[in-house]
Amino acid sequence: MLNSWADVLLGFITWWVGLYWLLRAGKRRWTRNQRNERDIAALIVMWFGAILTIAGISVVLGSMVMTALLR
Amino acid sequence: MAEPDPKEQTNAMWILLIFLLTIGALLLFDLGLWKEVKPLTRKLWTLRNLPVHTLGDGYSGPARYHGTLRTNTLRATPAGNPSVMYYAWVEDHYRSGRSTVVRTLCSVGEDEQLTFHQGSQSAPFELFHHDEDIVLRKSDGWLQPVPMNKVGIDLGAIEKSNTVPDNIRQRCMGKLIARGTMRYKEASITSAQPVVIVACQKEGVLRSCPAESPVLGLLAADSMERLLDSYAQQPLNWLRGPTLLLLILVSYLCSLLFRYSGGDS
Repeated sequence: MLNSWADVLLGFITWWVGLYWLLRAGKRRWTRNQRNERDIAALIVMWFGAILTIAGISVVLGSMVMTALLR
Repeated sequence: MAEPDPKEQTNAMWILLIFLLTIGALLLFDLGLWKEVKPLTRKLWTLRNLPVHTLGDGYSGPARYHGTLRTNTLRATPAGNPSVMYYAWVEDHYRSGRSTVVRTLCSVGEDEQLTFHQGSQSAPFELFHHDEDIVLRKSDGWLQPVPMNKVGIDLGAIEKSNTVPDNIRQRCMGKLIARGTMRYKEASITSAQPVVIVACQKEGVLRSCPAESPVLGLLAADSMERLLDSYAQQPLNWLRGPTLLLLILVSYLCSLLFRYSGGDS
């Protein structure tokens, strides 16, 4: 199903770290928005978190697609 | 006007540097995905679905052929095993700091004057006899991908020994100076072993294919599954490498941005 278990590990860690920053920055942005404060740093962190999440998913999907393609 | 705090300036410069590096890693990820992963995956798909043809059917394009390889005179490997073609090499395994380094001290092989046989038909086999680069699949895994722009060769299981045969000692005179332990390895096929090849027929000769083909050619003992898996490591490494780089840089950048913009509150 997967080309290598290292792909699951790398994909999961990347996805998890991305989601962690996405949620943490989202929470801070929401808190500051309640106080009518701007939070550009959190917005940038949210974007990078989302990119990491997508990169993690793409590694796992890439590995699965490649395996399916060759079997 | 207040003087800018040098510590804050340093932090800002540090964030900017990591930010630029992260953008670089993102571009690398993007480049890998569109310039490497996509075309290589397409090539692999084409290679996987190449038609199976027989000798002399007039098909000149890249095709898969199942058969056996033979040669006029039987060749013995340095270890004394009978074969039609073989590659043998001596590795030096030595410690450097905490890691073990492996270097090839000497390699020999015989792969000329081969004929491909399919039932009663045969054709000269010249897949890698016209200056084509070849890669022998020595092990599986992501650390040893086989590039698709070279002729891939998989002769099956590799025989390993801690004793270097006298034959190769004589042929590699002066090259076998080891820093650590010497290990002898060889890969070979016999005339009875079925092989799969990907090649193009040209004037009755099996040759390598043009550059626009999925691969120049390949030779695999029994099945090409292992070689396909080694080819797949190259596009996958283009996903793995930039992702790992992104993971490190983005994590660091996010923690810096968070720390210097007031933490969680």
